[in-house]
Amino acid sequence: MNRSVRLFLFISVSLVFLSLCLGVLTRLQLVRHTMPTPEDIVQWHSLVDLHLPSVKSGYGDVAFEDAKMAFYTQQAIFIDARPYEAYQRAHIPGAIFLYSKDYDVLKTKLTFSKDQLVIVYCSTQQCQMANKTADLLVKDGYRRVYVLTGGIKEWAANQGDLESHYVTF
Amino acid sequence: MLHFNSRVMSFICDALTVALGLMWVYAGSMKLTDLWGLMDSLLQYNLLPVSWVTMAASTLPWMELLIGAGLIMGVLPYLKRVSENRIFLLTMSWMSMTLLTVFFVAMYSVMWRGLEVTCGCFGAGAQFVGWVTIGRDFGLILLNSVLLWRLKV
Repeated sequence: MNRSVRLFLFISVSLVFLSLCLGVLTRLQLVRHTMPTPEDIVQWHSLVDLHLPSVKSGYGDVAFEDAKMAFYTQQAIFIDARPYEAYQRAHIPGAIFLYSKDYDVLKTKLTFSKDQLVIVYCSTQQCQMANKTADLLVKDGYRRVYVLTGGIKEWAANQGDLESHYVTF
Repeated sequence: MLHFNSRVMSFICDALTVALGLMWVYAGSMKLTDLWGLMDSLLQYNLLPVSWVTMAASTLPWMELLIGAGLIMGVLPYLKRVSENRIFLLTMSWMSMTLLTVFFVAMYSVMWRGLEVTCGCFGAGAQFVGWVTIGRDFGLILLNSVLLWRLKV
């Protein structure tokens, strides 16, 4: 093996090794979501009633604070519009899995009233799957459909409750 | 007619190397600022075991950043005079090519399986994997091939 090849291998392996080391450090630094304390829940319950903007046609947007209140006061049904692997990994407790692409098959699970407050979410603000699912729900006659602004990312970042089918995160 | 070894072509290749490096730095930093989104995208691709996703999402942005920084450093006038610089730049270009090829295969497999997946190419954007993202990746592979060919001349 000549010097050039050895140097090539050395640089490649060093780069991968350095990336892995930084990756391990990053993984350790990843924010772990925590359960809200009972005091938090009491405080949320003591807040004023949920006032969401009315939806004339189509669906509306709901901010994290309102969604959290709706969650802890059990006023809303949450729908997870992401693929099943993402849903399994972490979702808002009790959220119904309804991946936008498989909407026609999965909508049979929706047994609640068309007047029920529904909050749809996907991963982030930019993710379009929640909007797609919300659009389909509205077309199916659901009248109070909202999309969670910031998605589950913001929910987790603000220490919203999460449920996972996996032990590791 | 311009020869590939001419000064102008050398300058163009250096500029393209810097552009590719900046692209990697941008992609890596965008991913690093949105690891949750990246993890979500990786899960949607459904190519890695779930237990590997967090580690992959933590490592990939750093790898991109290092490759980008390496490509940019490789064309710095001072470092160009170092005799090992060509091997260094060649290694970085091969690493870049490997990553681009992996992304190309991953995106093509998504299209082939008929999945609707957010690309996650430059952080968690709204862009879904499609012919546009595959075409963009293919363009970058072509660019990278030109740079590799240039380094071997």
